[in-house]
Amino acid sequence: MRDIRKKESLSLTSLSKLKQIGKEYNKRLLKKADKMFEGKIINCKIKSEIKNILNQGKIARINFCSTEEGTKCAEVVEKEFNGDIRGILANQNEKSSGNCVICGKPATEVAYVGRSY
Amino acid sequence: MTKEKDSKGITAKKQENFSEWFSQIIKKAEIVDLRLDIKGFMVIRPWGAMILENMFQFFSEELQKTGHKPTFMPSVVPEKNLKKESSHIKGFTPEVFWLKEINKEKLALRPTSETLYTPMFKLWVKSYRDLPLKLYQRGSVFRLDTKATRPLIRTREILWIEAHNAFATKQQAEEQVKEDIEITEKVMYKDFGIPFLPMKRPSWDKFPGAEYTVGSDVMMPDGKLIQQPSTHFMGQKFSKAFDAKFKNEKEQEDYLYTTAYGPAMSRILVSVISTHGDDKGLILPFSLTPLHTIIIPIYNKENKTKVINECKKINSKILSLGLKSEIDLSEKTPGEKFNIWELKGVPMRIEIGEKE
Repeated sequence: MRDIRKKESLSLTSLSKLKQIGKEYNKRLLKKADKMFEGKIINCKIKSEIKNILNQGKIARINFCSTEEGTKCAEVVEKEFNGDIRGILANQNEKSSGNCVICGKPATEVAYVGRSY
Repeated sequence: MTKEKDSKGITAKKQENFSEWFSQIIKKAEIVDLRLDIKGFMVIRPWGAMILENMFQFFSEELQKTGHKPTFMPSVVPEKNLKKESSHIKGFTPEVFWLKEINKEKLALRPTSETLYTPMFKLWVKSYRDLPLKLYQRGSVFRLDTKATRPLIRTREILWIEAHNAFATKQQAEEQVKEDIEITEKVMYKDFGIPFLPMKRPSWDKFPGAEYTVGSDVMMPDGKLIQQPSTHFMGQKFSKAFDAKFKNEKEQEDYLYTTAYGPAMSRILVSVISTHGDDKGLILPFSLTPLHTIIIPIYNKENKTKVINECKKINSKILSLGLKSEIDLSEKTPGEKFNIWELKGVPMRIEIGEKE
């Protein structure tokens, strides 16, 4: 078994189980991938913490002024932290609170900051 | 001798030096060969191509299930088409591979195909009864990326599927954007095991010509994000540029609402490799692997025929289950065979010796 590097003995008659074993194999890979992603999104309330989060190879989730008009804030994020405003979650309507962590104006969105290829 | 053996396996650690690990794995697992030495282009070897074929298959099937029909469009696009939508050409201009003028017409290698599909929508759609029209193609697009190119990650030729759809209303088109995200969820996450964040991009980062873009961000082992399938709501921008009108239910003329969705297989392969692989090599999802099982015969001079016959019996039994399987009959030692197939990421290795 390639993923867990384990050996099992399989009798000739139980070869028909291979498909089931394959399903479990894929489930294990998915679970492992989910686990790697867990804890990678960090809520960030202070501007100065963004760099630290990005340096750890994580994503910062911030209250943000606007992904329509916040180009100046995006420039700050790029210049100071070498990061990008990746956007807002498209399949959820996340509610922001307080002010934009970059410019201090009232936040309208919850944005995600990361480094990218 | 040991030295030679070492150089066959991966010497970089995925967590410590991801970039080197990735460069080694794609060459040593025989995914790509870069020795043709054309900047931004690569040769995809059989092992890589078989994985990509499977990926194409999953996406095509899901697109067809959701009502998309296949097409094949020209690989070239006339300058006059590319220029029709102003922000589109502005965004793509620095990245276009222009061909020389042929019969007074300037052609480019397509960087994407909105400007080929929309004029066809204009011809194919007359009334709301012809809608929705959901089409896709598999093929290559060409982008003269000026930044540093990297095999599979940042290339000048992208192997992808692009779906282009036309609708009667804004609401239907926006529903399509949601369906596109669901297709990514179904195929890339559930079938390929790659988690992602669907990100509605900031206005300054959307597809040139789109009203908005949703990109799927996948995390690489070094913590950087890579954009995977993206979907674009074009609104009426392209249909207005190409004068693609139809008669709506009230018998009034209106412009089509269009969307585009682009899962790039060569790029998703990056995430398949980097999400699942380990320091021994690739780990391929059962759904994508070119081989589900590899059978390694372990024999000596006396029992060789007997062992190989047993292997053949087992192999045909596995094949009869609809799985893909092979016997490694090469002259390499069993140890070498173990390493190679581990490097290539085959999910299951079956060892057959005398006692089996």
